[in-house]
Amino acid sequence: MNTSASSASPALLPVSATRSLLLQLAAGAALGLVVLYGVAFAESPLAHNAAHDVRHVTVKPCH
Amino acid sequence: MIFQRLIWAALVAAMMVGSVQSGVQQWQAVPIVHAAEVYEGQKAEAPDALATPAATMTHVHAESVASSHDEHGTAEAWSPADGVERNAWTWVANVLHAFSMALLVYAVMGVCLWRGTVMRSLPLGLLVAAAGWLSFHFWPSLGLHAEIPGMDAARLGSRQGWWMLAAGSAALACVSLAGLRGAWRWAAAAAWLALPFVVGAPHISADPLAGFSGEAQAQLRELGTQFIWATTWLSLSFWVSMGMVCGAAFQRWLRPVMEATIQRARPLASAGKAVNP
Repeated sequence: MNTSASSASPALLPVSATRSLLLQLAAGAALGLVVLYGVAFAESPLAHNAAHDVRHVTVKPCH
Repeated sequence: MIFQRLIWAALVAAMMVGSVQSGVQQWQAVPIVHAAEVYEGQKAEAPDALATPAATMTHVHAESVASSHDEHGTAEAWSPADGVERNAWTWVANVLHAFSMALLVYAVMGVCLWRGTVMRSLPLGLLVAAAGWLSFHFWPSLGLHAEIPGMDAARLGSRQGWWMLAAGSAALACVSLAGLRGAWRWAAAAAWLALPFVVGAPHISADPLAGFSGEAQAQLRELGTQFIWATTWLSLSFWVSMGMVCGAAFQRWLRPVMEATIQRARPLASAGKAVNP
């Protein structure tokens, strides 16, 4: 019984590890989009004034 | 944990690419923004009702009126003082911008690896960067050209929405080309590329420089043309350096861990399919 249990768990782990890899890539991409929104699109005057020149130079709608 | 590695590798790429971009921008494009701001202070109210809320916003600048750099008529809002402080915040914004793009590049490279690409990291990074340039610069810029301060334009929210539509559509066109099989993937990519232009970029019907005198208009038109070229070269340099740095960093810190994870799972997954067809 122990043998079958120990042979079953490694078979499941790597597949869930692949799923975890994809989830972590998705989380990284999501964080990237959030940061991009803050730098390039957030309408807060503070964010806009701090990133003003970068918004113009990276061709984002600014004013 | 791969996520931590993603963050650190993105920070390294962001510091390198963002810092170089800040330097090149100071030389290539920021002087054009500053020059346009000098004229911006001379702007009269828009002459007709076609002007939008964005167009009629008071837009006060350091060089013209006050010692601060205010936007959107929010005279009380903090803004960096011209000189070192403004350049420092531009550097911070450049690094954050590069950080966001590096995270997206790594994520796409990781998915390519998961799908079984045999490309080496550097060419893969450059290929993903080319898709990034198309999606985040070229395609949106075809509909909404680079703007210098002082130009009237359609409402900000509608322009931002169209920018996101154009970038998202171009990204999906790249996904269609990379992910689909058969000849019709070209048709799918073409349809995605066409979508934002079928919708149409928001523009005002009046002259964007209508509020300026003749001489200022001529100067601003010249600055506007210079700015379009400057931003084109800057975007190319940004994405080429991003592709190279991300390719090298991916090879160094991310690919070995990701490949180990994928390799461990692949034979077992196929064995599972054989047992349970």
